Amino acid sequence: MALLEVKNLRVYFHTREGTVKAVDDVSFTLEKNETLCLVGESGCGKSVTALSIIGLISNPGKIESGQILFEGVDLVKLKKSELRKFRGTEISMIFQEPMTSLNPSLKVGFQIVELLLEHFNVSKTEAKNLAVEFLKKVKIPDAVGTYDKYPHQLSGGMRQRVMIAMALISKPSLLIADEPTTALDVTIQLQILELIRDLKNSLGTSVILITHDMGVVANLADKVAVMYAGKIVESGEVFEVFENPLHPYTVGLLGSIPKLDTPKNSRLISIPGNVPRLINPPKGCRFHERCSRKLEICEIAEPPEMTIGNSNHRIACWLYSDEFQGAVDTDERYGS
Amino acid sequence: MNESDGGIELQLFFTKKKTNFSDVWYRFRRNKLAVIGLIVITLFILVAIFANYLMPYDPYKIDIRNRLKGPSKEHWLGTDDLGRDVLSRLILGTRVSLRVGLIVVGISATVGTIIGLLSGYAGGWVDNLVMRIVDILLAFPGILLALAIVAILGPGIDHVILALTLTGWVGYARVVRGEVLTIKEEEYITAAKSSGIKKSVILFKYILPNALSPIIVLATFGIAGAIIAESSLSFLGLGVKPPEPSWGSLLNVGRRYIMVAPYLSIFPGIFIMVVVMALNFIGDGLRDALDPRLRNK
Repeated sequence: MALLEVKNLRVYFHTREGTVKAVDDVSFTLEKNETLCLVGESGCGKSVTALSIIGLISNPGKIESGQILFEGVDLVKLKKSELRKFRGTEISMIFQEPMTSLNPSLKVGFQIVELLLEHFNVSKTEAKNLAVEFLKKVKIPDAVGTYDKYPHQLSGGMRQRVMIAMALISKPSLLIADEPTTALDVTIQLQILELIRDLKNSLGTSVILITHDMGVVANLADKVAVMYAGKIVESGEVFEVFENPLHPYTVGLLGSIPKLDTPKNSRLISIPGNVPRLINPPKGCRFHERCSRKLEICEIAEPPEMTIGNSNHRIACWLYSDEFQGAVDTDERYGS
Repeated sequence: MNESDGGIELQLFFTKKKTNFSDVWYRFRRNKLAVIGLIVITLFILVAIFANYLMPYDPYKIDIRNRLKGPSKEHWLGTDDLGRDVLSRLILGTRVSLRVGLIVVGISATVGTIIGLLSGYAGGWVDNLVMRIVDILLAFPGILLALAIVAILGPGIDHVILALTLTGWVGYARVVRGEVLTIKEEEYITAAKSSGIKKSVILFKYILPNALSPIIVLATFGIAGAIIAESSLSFLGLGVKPPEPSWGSLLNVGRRYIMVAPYLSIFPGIFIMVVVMALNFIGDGLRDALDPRLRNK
């Protein structure tokens, strides 16, 4: 059984201006000890997907339909109090901003201990020892000294390490990391990513990593799901998707990264336009307004989701639909 | 022990010393007026505690032959209309005034903070209801409402405290609620929720400490306000019962003899002014010291 199975998840935000379909019919599965990367531009529903797993969608947002099966238990149906038992024990989360994710008025050690006392039957001394042990595990030099420090006395990288220690101290089965390295500088980013990977391997945790950094994906992921405007447009094993990107959006994302072997004077590909407003998403394929290989059908009907070959490579795009196989050729004839 | 060991230890010593409290104290100390205010208040508190030993005369002893005598060697601040020593009565009055100030602020800050916390955190109709009640109470001048309450219950220091508390909590509730609204959107609250921390713990250990600075500042000003309010009510004859002295009632007595013995009103006035100013200086100093935007200066 998969550790996490998200089925047809829809999360809508009912605002005064209209209903924002932030997550619209998203499905994916995550096996034990696997890393799934959710990638996509800002505002395409990655974070909302993550927050709905941990049950933190608050007004005006609402999970409209779908299932989130965690070890067979549907988290959507659980009561708040029952859900709380999963948070911080079975499912943990790391946030984007280490600067603001710790309570500024409590010492970091106290915050870790509190978490332990909340969920586990341990004494204060045991909790303290465990906290220091985990601060060492996330490679904080002077773990004992850090235990007694306030967040504002630590650097961003150190705070993110503390956050990771807090997230992993309960040895959760699932770690959700929402852009854990975006706010950090590049050298620290690598250290943090390596730390997450090492701890994931030693603790056997599954990870959902949200990012828009393809480099991060290549570094960490087993599987990748590309999201666009609230939908997963392409997903599969990371090597498969990187070697053989099919959806024009994925192609665009990957093409926008400079590579070592990119010729000196060639221009990087950029995807024109912006993510559409999700109050009134475009009809048909949501990407059609920005797509360089748009077909007529794309403006009319939503593309079906299909599997390519016999791998897990799934894609939602008319270009690869049987009925429109011919259309690809036409398109290529005109050149894109 | 070699040199590097000593270095590390020294460093630990310094980092340990630099807690939030010592930061605040460091910045507070640089504000001269605030320090003076703190010294003055400390002196007044000591006076209130040791009033029995400091009073040169029995504050209730009537000596008609020496009535309305101006300041002299025997009676530093003169005698009142019944020949009682004004200094002794002012010293005893310190007790009443400070007690009213501290109790009123203590209760109304606690109650107001809790109501503000719950209201802000709950949101929705609860918040709406509580804030409308607060609006109603704020629409009246507080002293007028207190006056009405004391008029109904009858004069007496306990009734004054009750009346001032009933009108005093709203200010705290409003400020705390505003703070909660900002703090509950902070990422560390989401982070705490995502790690399954209980609501009550989030409320009192994550939100409250971060909302504390404005409460402390407000409370300092609040004590000054309560002292003035008690003086006003006592001045109107609704506060302490004679012959017990409070600064306001002493002022009230002085009013009748203002042409013949102006010192009877001047001295209580000075006492009130000095304490209120000292508290305001402390409040100002605390506000600056606790302001996070000035933290790194």
